[in-house]
Amino acid sequence: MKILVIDDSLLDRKLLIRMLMRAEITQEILQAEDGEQAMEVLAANYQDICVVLLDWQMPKVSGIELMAGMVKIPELASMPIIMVTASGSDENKRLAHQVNPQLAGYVVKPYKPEELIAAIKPYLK
Amino acid sequence: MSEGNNIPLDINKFKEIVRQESARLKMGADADNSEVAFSLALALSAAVKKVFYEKSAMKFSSEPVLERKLITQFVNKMRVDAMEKFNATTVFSTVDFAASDDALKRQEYLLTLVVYLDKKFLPEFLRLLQYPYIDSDDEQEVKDGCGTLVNLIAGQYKREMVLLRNEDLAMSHFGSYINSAADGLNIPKGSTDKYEISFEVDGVKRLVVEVVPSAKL
Repeated sequence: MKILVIDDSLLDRKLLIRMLMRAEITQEILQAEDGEQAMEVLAANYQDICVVLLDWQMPKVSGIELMAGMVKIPELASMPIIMVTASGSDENKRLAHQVNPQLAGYVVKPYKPEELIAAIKPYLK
Repeated sequence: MSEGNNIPLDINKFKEIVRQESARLKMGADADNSEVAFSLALALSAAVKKVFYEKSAMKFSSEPVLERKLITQFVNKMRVDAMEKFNATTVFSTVDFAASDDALKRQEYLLTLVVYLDKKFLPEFLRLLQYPYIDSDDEQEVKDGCGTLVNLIAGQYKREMVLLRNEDLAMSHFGSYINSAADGLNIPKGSTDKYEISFEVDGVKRLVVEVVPSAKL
């Protein structure tokens, strides 16, 4: 199974991938740099993805917009999604849970590696 | 299931669902602004009624119908298919409002107003407002005639805005089109939705006006 990392910041993607490797998470990692590219990756690989790490603020299609669409598609609706975002406001957290009541996690950047690993681990297959 | 056994999702359907959900989220985000947008639509409805009640003997046969609709955007402009309003050749004119003449020049619009009419009824509307006869087959006369009408409505709307918000907005010259505007219509930056107001005469929809408010209002 694979992990999909969606973030427009290359640096953030690299940081996150290095952190996963250091935690000896061996799943293949797919990447997308915005919501639009993520749709292509999801459409082609959805059956192999065990968890999605999703940034909120991205060009073209934001993380929240992508997630709002995903939960309406039966094949993707139950896919675990962890929001990894710089926005820690209560309003955004509430909106994220409202859009996706099954949201697997909400991690605020800058995060502690162990915090993110703990959020991801239950979904690794 | 292992890699390679994936049945790809229909990407176009996926994109369409995301687009719809995105619009829904934006509508939700604008919920706080919806009261302002609604009051602007009511003011426009009042302006249209005043223009016709004060200047003509014409009576609308029912209360106008207000509908909030999403804008179809194309490169930051509003795409318009005017024929769908009446299923007939349609002339429409638009006027933009801004906080000042300078803001108008910089295209920092606060409101865009659009008036649509079934082309063949335009001469009758103008006659009722005491204007001279225009030839509905003469494209230039039709465009000027509809422009005259939008100016009347926009002028009244400007006065309504002073009463409603104590704001004396600057108004652009009108632009007129028949059936469609090739490059789309200017709208306030960031606008996602509009109010469409339909007026009936003798039980038939004869006039449609739209207001596209800026999110800043």
